[in-house]
Amino acid sequence: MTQFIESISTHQLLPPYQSINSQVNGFLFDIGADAIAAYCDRFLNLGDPLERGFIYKPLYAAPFGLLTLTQYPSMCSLDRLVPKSFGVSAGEWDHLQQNEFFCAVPVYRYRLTPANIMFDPVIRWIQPFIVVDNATSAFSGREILGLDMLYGHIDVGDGAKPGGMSVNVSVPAWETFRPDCPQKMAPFIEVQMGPPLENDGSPDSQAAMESLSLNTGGVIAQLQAAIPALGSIAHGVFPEAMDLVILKQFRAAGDPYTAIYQALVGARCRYSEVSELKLYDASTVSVQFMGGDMVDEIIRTFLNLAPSWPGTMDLQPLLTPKMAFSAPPPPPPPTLANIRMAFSFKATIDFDGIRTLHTFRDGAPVNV
Amino acid sequence: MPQFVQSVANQQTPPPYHFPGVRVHAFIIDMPMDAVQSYCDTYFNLGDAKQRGFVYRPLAVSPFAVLMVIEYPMMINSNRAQLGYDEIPFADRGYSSQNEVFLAFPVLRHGLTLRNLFMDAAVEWAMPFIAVNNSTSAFSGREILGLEKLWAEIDLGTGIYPNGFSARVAIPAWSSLNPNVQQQMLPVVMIDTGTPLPSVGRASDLTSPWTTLQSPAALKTFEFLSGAMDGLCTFSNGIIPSPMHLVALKQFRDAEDPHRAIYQALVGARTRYYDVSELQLYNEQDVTIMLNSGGSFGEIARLFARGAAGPLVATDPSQGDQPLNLIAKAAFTFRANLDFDEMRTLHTFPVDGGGAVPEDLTTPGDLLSPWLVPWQGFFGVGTSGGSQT
Repeated sequence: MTQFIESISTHQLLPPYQSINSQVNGFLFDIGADAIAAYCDRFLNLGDPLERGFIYKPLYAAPFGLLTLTQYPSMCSLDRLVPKSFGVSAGEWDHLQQNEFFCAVPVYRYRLTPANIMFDPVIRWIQPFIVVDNATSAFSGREILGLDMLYGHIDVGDGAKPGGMSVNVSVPAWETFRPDCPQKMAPFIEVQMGPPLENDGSPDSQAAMESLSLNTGGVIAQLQAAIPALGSIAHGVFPEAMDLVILKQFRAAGDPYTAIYQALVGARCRYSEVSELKLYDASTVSVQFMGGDMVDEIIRTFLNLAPSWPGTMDLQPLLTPKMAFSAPPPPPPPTLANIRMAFSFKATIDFDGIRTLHTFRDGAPVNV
Repeated sequence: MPQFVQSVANQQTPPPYHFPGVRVHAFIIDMPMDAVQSYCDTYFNLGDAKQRGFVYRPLAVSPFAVLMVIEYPMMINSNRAQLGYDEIPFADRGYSSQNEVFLAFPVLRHGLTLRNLFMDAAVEWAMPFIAVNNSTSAFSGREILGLEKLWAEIDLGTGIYPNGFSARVAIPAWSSLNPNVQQQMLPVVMIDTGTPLPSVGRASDLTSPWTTLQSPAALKTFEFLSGAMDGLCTFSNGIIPSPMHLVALKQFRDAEDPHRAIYQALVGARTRYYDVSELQLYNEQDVTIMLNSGGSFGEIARLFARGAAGPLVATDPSQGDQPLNLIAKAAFTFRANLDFDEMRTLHTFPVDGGGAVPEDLTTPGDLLSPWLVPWQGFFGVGTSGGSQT
C-alpha cells in the first residue's frame, strides 16, 4: 500500500464525518431533465458505454432538484488514525463549524448489457454545485472525494418578514467575462423565506396547511413513485440516506487538460435523529440565482434554468473577448428558481460509505 | 491519458500565469542542513533510491530559507486554450488578486549513477509552507501543481514606522490537540519591519545602515543567488533568485482509504522575476518575525524553528500558545513582474492498486538539468529515465 505522506499543510479533514444538531433547510425546485441528462453524459457516462457497463439517466417522471442549506455547528472526523498519530486516543477529531449550500438531484444508474439494454436501476444523487464557507472542508471535499466544492461566504440571517430567514451565498467570481474584469466575491444565491407554517387551530393556519397539502400533494406523489426508498423526512421528499456519485479527477501538471486520475466515487450522506421538522408556504420562499457571467454559466450548465439575459442563450458574443475600452454590459437580472416545497429540520448527519465505484483509465475503464 | 472534464464550478485556473507589478518582501532566515535533509527525505526521496535514480539534498553553500510575502495586484491567466463546451478561455475571463506568504529553501537534486549524476542535477526550491488569501489560487496550486497552499487571511500594512511593513497571517486551525477543541482562525505568522534603509538608525551605528551586507550569511546568500540568476536586472544586485525552479510533491488520497495515496509525483514549475525595481533593504535588526507554535501549528513551527535563535519552544501543545521569534539575517523589498510557467512532472512514483494513470507511460519524466535542456537530443542526452518506474 502506498502511504499518503502526511503534512499539516494538507489541511484536510479525513472521512468518515459526523455532525450532530445540524440545521437543514431544503427547497424542492423544478429542474430541466435535459440539463440533468447533459450533466450525466458529461460527468458520469465517460468512455465507451459497453466497456463501462453502466449508464446514468435522469428521473424523467420527477424532474426535481433539492437546494439545501446545512448549518454544521460542530462537524468532526471519525478517523481514528490521525489522533493516534499524535498520541491522542479519540473517537472524534478536528471539530469545525461550517455552512454549506448545495444542489442535489436524483438520477438513475442502470447496468448495461452487451446488447445495450438497461436494467437494475438504482437511485444515486449528483451534486452539480456545492458551496462551503470553510477552507478545510473545501480542501477535503475536493481532494479526497472529488466534489467540486466552491469556497464562498454563506451568511444566514433574519428574513424580511418576522420569523423568516435570509441566506446570502457569494463566491469569488467575475461578473463579466472580459480580461479587465477583477475577480471579487459576488452574490451567487439569495434566499428569502417567511416564517414556518404553524397549525395552531386558527382558521388561517388551517387554510394554510390545506393549501400546502393541495399544492405539494402532486409533487410528493411524483417523487415517491420515482424514488420508493425515500425516507419519511419532510413528508417523504427528503431522503434519509443520500447515495452520492461524484466524478473525482485531477489535472496533469504538464498538460492541465488531461487527467492523471479519473474515477467515480460513491459516498453516503445519512440523516438521523430528525427533529423540529417545519414546513413553509412555498409562495413565501424566494430563491434567486444572482446575475453575472460566471454565475450564469453555472446555472446554465447545470440547471438549465430559464435564461436571465440574452447572453445566456447566445454564447457566440461571449466567445469573443471584450476589450477594455468597451463599456461593460449592465448586470443581468437574477434568475428565479421555481420552488415547489420548502422545509427545515434538525438532524445528525453522517457522511461515510466512501468507495471508488469505477476508475476510468485512458478511455478504457478499469473496475476496482 | 483521459481528458479532464472541464467544469464551470471547479474554481481552478490552470497555468501559465503572468503577474505584473508584484511587491515582494523577503526575509532570510537560517535553515540548518539537517532540517532540509529531513524534509527532502520525507517528501522527495520516496521509495527505493536505485529505482528512483536521484536524490534530493540540502545545498551546502546556502543553509538558509527565504520567508517571502508577495502582493499580487493583478494575476493574469495567460492560458488561451479553448475549453470546449462553449466555455470562455481562462485568459479571457478576467483577472484576480491575492496576497501570499511562503517559506522556501533551495535543495540540490542529482542523479545516482555516473550517467545521470550531472544530467539530472538541478537546484530547485522547496516550499514547505505557503498560504494565500484567494481560494481560486489555493485550489489551482494544490490540485494542479501539488503545492499545499493553505487558505489564509493575510493583512498587510505599513506597521508603526514610516514606509515600514507589517504582515498578519491567520489560518483556520486548532489551538490544541484536545480532540474536542473547535477550529478557529488563529494567527500563524506576524512580521514587522522598521523603515527601509537608509533609516533614521534605530539599530546601532555599528550595524546600520549596511548591516545587511556586512552579515556573512546574507553575503553568502546574495553571492549564491547571483550565481543562480539568469538575466536578472542588475539593479537587484543578484538578490532575487530568477528563475526560481520549484519542486513539490503532488499527491492525492484514495477516497476509500484516505491514508493511502492514489497518485504521487514530483512536479516542477518555474517562477521568473524581471523588470525589478524599487529595491530597498530593511535593517534586519528592526525586523521581528513571530510564529505561532501552539496546537496544530506545531509541525510548521518545528520546521521554522530551526532558524530561530535559541531552543525550540512550545511545539508541545501542553505548553500553550507561545510564539516563536525567528531571526532575520537579511530583509529587503522590491517590485517586479513575475511569470509562473513551465509546469512539468519530474517523476511519478509507482503506487499500489487502482491508482492514477501514470503520466510517464506516454511522456517521460523531466529530470533533465535546466542547463542541459538546450542540448537535449545531442549525444544521447535525455532524461535519466528516473521516472520510468
